[in-house]
Amino acid sequence: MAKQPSFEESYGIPEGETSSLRGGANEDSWRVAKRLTQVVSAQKVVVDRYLAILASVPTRHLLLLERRGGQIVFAPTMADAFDSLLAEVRRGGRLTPDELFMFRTEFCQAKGTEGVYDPELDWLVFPTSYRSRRLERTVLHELGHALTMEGATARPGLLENLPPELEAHLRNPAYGHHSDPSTLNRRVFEVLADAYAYLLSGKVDLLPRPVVDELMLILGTVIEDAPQSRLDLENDLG
Amino acid sequence: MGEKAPRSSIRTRPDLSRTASFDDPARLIDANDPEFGHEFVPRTLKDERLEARPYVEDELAQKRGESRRT
Repeated sequence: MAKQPSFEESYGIPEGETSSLRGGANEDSWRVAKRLTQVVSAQKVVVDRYLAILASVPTRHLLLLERRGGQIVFAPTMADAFDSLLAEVRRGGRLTPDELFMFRTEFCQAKGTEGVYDPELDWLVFPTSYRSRRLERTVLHELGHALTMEGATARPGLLENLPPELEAHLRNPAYGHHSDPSTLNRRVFEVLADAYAYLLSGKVDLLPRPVVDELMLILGTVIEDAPQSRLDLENDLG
Repeated sequence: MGEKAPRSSIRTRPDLSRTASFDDPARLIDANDPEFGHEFVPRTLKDERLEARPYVEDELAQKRGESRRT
């Protein structure tokens, strides 16, 4: 009798990709995550906690971020990160007063901001003067944005039959209103970022098949489209 | 400090704007809270932790001959 394919096999998920967090940290991922890390100010005590989570991410995902120049930035607040000299140099200019006001009032502890992904700077930004209580989900979600945002194709079918927790996440007004034409894009970005967190947490079977298919297509494509980043640990981690 | 790679055309698409994740502010853990975890010790490469790493802002400020940190 033919052996039934596993869930991972039926979805084309590489061995070790799902529930990689359960496998514990690995040194290669930790070293790449550390290379990607920029610390903007003295509040550093929590950074190791973030790195310990990133150490359980497939190393090739972090290497992909490194090869395209992405960075993981830690600062006391989001405003500190985006108003820093580091950001100014990378952006080629300072924030406008309106942008700075937005970071101080909207992307702040008082509004519950746990992390930010900025595609312009290719930055994952995490705060160090406070932290999320669900740090693992926060880190994987923002990394999910960094890995999936470029390749995402927004279509309404990716917003159907989602787990209740993800449905609730999408109801946050920050991800748009029905009348806003950009809402579909923003919500699909959120679904795919969270799907990445589900994948690495071993909960991918809670997601509808179209979302898993889209996620795996994007992850496969972004890695295959980076021929210079062969993700060869012999060369990259020597 | 690593230089930013040239942007791909797709990354400059106007609909790729920054995005944040949020939780109930009351659930966040402030650095002054003992639960914040100042004593955390990672499981990996304990001898290569970040304590010895200079602040990026300091490096940049030195290059510019100025200091924004007080």
